[in-house]
Amino acid sequence: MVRVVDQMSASCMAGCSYSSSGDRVYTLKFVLVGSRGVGKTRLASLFHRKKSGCPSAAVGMQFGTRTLRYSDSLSVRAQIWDTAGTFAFKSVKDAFFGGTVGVMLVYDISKRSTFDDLARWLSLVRENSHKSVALILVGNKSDMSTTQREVSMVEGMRFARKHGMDFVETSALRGLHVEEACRQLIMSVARYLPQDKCVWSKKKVRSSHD
Amino acid sequence: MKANERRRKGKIDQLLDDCEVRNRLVSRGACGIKDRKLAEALVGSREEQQAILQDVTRTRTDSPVFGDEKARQWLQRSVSLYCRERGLRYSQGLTHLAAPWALITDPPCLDGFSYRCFRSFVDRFAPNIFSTAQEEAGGGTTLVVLEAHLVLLEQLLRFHDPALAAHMDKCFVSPAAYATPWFVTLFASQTPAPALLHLWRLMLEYGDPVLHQFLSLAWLVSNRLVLMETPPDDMPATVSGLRLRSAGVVDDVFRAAVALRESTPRLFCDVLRRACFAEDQEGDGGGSCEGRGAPAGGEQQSGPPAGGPAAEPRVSLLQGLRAEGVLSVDADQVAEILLAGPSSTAAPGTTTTTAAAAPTSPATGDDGWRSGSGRIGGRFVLVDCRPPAPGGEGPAGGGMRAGGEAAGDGRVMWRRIRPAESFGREAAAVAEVLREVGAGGDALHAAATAEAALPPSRQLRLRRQPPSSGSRARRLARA
Repeated sequence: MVRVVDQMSASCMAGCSYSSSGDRVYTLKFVLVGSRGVGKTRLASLFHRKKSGCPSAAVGMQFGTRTLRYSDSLSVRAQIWDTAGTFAFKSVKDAFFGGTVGVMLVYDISKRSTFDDLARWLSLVRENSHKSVALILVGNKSDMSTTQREVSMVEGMRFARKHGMDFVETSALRGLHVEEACRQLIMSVARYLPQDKCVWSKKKVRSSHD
Repeated sequence: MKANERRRKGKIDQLLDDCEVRNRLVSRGACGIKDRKLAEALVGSREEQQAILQDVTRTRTDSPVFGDEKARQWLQRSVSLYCRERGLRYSQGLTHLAAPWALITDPPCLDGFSYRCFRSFVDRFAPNIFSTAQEEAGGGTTLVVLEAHLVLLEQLLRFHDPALAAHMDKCFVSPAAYATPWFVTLFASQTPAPALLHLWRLMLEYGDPVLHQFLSLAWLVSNRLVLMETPPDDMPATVSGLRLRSAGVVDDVFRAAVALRESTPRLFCDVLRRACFAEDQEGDGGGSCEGRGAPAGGEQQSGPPAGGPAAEPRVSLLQGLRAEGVLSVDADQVAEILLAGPSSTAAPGTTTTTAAAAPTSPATGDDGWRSGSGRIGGRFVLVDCRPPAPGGEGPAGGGMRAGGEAAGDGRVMWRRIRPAESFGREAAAVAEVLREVGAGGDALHAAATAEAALPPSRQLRLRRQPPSSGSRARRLARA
């Protein structure tokens, strides 16, 4: 991924990472954050449609990509970075958040502590990524029965509204709303992409996607 | 029983060799957890236990062994016992390190023996990887050793395969993004069991934990064709998707790693050992454990780090690493740490006198520098030949050259000079290094002469940088 944050931030909305490979394909980087065991890896693997049995515990980072069509002339190649629940140190944070345009904050509706941790995750995001990064809050495991639920939907919505995020409840287990959540996030970034012509063509990047 | 246990303990190092024999000889049912320690291992905090359990169910899901409740229990107990014995908080990766030890025998051997194998293996090959240090500024903790590993891997890649390193830089993919599991789990998290056990066996045979760094490098370099072809967009996925699939691949990588190790300056291994494998000061309350020996393989660790400077805490060494790069930064500090070891012939008395003498003649930088270098047993010269401002003109400018040839870009050269050699010889060596780089076709700095290349402070850091570096540099070049 060609990170051109500094050069681009003047001309495009988010100081984000762009790599235009092909005429109108933008590669955008999205990251998943949230406490351990909330289902990030499974969400990601559902979205980029990898075969997933039970995903093994993520150590380090995992990546997946999927291309979505935005309009006739424009596709978005979403590159999703998924990380183990902890950030060991700064250089990991830099590698993870550098050039991110969208963040998916995930918590587990059946575990209060994961919701309480959100504030910490959010501040981590704010510290390390561009200020106009797109955010979506995802309450995962909505398949849990109401008795197991520890965080109500209203609370989730309230938190999301307070911090200017979108909010979705998903069930990665059943695959409910996962697609919507990801699309919503991606599209909220994609509408800022220049529609008419590709401003940054690939000059130095060798072609491999044509 | 006891004697038997003891005998087995002694053999842990050759365990993987034995395991085939054991496979044939020992026919024992999958026994329950007999070991007393293991049985009462589950006493950590509830959250921690939950975290471990969560990861246990996600470890080695490809293996039928861990479909069994007993095996999972063993794993959970082993990991929490290890954490307790070493005074660690659980971190992800430990389950991956422990799990293969349940696989070494055919009816899985789920008792204290497997646990001790796991423990001594981790103590030996990834001794401090989970130990943390307080972040200096923020409140959080950092995995110092892991970070050092990653920084050093990057350095090593720059040294051995500058073109690939430049390509990775261009893709903005740093080792932090892909190599973490390589170090934290010693390849366990991504490698199928047969290949993994083969790899671990080779590592045990080789004996020196330092090799793991070179395994990572060799693994990267052996995939260079794929990586160089990969466009930047796909790089993170490609590089983190590399898998050691078969024992044959492992053999190749291992051979390459040994070769790479031999062609790397010793200095590097020393830094690595200090940064990553030296005894930890703060962690390890538990202390004694039978497997925690000095690294085997006849490395000249030269006994206990004699004297004060050698006992430099790891954190400060890391700070140096972090700042710019291993050897360009704190040559001062690194020198003291490193050279205090093997060849610290200089008596403490002379140390003080030269140190006292140095400040008296601040005007003549050379003298201070020279006497300073006499203080330690050996001298060495570090030349960092990276282009001055790589970010300056975009990815293509400072990076790989058009032909893709392994130019001198990003190459860090290390020269170590024996104490007997004179000042003039040393200077000549510097000039020679620079000439080599210049001749390598790298438009290093507009003028290829050593004279022009020397002065900027980044490129040449000698042990003691006198204030008048410009004039000294010119003298160096002329010599």
